[in-house]
Amino acid sequence: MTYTVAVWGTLVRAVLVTLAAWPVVQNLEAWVSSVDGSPRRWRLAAVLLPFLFPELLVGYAYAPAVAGLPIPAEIATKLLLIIRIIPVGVVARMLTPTTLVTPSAIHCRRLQLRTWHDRYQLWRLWCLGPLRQACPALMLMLLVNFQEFELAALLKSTSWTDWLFVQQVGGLSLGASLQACGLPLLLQLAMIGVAIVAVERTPLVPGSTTPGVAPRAHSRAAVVLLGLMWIFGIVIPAGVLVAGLPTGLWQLAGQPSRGQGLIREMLTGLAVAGAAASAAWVAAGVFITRFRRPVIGLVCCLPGLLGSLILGLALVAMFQWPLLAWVYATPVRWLIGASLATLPRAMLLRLWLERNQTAGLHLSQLLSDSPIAAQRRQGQQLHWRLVEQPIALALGLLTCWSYLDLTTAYLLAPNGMPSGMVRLYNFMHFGRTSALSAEALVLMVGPWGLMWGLARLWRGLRS
Amino acid sequence: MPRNNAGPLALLASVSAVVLLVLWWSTSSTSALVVYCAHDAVYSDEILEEFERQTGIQVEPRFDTEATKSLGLVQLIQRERAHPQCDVIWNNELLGTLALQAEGLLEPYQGPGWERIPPKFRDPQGNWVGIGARLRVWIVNHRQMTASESDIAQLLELEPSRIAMAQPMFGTTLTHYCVLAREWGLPRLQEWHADLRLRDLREVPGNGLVKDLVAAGTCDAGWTDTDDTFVAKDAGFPVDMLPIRVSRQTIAIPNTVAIIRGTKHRQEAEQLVDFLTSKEIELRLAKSTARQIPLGPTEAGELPDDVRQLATWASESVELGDLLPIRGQVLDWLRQEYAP
Repeated sequence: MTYTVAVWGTLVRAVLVTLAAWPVVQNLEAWVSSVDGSPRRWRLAAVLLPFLFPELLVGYAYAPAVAGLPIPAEIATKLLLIIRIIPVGVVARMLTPTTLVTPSAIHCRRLQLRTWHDRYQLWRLWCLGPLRQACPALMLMLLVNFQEFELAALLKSTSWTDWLFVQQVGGLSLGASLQACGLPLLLQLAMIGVAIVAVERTPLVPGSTTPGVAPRAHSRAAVVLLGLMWIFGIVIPAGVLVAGLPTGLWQLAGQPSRGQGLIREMLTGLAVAGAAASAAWVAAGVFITRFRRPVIGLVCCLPGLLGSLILGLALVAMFQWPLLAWVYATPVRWLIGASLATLPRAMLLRLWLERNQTAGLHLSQLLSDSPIAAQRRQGQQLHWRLVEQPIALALGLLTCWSYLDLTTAYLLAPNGMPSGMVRLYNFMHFGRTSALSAEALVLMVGPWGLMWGLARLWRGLRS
Repeated sequence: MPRNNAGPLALLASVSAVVLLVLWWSTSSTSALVVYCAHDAVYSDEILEEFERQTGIQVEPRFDTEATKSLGLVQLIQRERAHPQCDVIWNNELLGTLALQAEGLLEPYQGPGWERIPPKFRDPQGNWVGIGARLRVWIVNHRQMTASESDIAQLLELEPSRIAMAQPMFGTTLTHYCVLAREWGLPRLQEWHADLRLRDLREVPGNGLVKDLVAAGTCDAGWTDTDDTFVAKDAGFPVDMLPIRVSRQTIAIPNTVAIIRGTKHRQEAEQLVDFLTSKEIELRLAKSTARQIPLGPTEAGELPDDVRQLATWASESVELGDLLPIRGQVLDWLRQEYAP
């Protein structure tokens, strides 16, 4: 398969997967938003979990069934990508402000369709309203799909990223690799550009903070869809590991040094991911709010759009220069690589959060400044819901992306500071399921525990 | 923006930064010996820890991943040539080490380990030395066919879709292809490869997956290495093995150990090479789940039964030391084949 075919093939798959996932995204988002408080958090966690389950383990579980069989591999890749992209879409939808063109407005327009001009007006209204509102979330999903590497490589399905990897192994120079990235770069820039234009030109109102009402049939469908996502995205891949879990945990308990090493690797990966997510978030904010020129932001996104492999190799080469060589053995280049890889997604997430600055926020500020304690508390709660919770959610998503990125960690981590993801991949070679099971459990559950702890700490500090 | 917007960000950034600094501070030791290790962490980690215990020399291993197996670390050493980070490479094959030698990235050392390994498995100048080898074998599901050369030849002829093979650009399958290219000539290999692919040979990302497919009965046979086959056998799967022979010779691929040019810990690196090439470590590798075949002399009865059989086959191996030029040709062709 030629490179051009690989690039366009990846794009077509990304479009199909995004479009196929979108109705499910809408349904699940309505299901999550139909409740408030603790139930909403649990529902959101349930939706996010298939995305947080390591891609390596998913690929590892399905590869024996489909690898080497081009058509089944392609179908499996599409289905698994749908499952993994839905949580991204749900979070993106939750962060997206509501459009001024309400469903009622569209309904009213639809009631008066007499001429072709009326139909054109309806179509225009739909483009200006729901489509423009959905655009940033759709583009984020498309971008994440298009950048897919590990799942496609494990299942041996079409992907421009895997094509470049094979070329690298065959000895392609870094310069030639960078040249080859031209077309994918352009396509990704177009995706981000479309999202920016959609956000900039759409008059939006803040998302509703009160729970909506999801019809019972929709709720049932959401539960069924979520169940399917769990079965294929978590239960089956985890099933491969569960058999060895008791033995693995027992072995781990009997080897304190191994356990310590594992926790250390998890903390290393998580700390770099957290710092990279924060840096990317701040950088995205600077580009959006200070420069107010999307072009500058787009240019800064270019390294991240090269993909983890080429970005990593370029940074390895760059930090060999005499001027930078002194920081080669530090986590700085890993941090830079992870931040650059995360920046395009941070830009998209931040872009539409920044647009959500409205009267509701002003009210929350007024309440927070009130001399009455109850009002201050309400102001803080409103502020949490309108501002801090979306930021925490976006940062959590970026941290997870960065934590699960194997290639950047493999290429850029300094000696003595490996990430747990690299070790996990190494163990897969021999299918050491007991060791793999225990380590996978620590590497997956550990970050959740820590992030939950951080969230509790923050809530505690505020109250 | 309203105040306190930076709350979650500040918390995440500060906690991450503090944890990262503490972790880095606790690992940034300039005295540690850096080992790039392509041999599986499952086995090599314990051996390197044993070295630390015996010598008191701190070791910082950097392991490979299945996806980039062996080539990843070799390429990293090549990319780091201006400022070498690695002191010793423990490679799980030979061709990558030969590439490093050709580029002048290795420092010769002829220690006691080099002395005890037969000339066939070491560099005459001491740039590298081989230890514990693996054999290329046919893994066969014995519920579906017998592990005999005639049955395998028949399967290859009639139904290659029941055979699994790792993509030949990587690891030991690449070495296997280089041997075939040398023995048959590249045009014949290309024709053979194209014919098998045309008839739906099952190509998968790695040898581990070949083993899984045959063990599960999805495929009847496949090319893999002895260590993978033993993992399946030990797990109780119905598999047998048969050494792959090219011009009647087997293919034994040694682990290789070498010191990287520019190391700042030459003395410690020599100590590690001596340790890894010692008889004790070869025996330890032989007794591990991977059943690596000792290349140096061992006493009768020291080896497990199944490794004794492998040692006999390994003694019939082809020479691998001259494969480097062919590797370039094979890689060029495969690159065009898989990613034109």
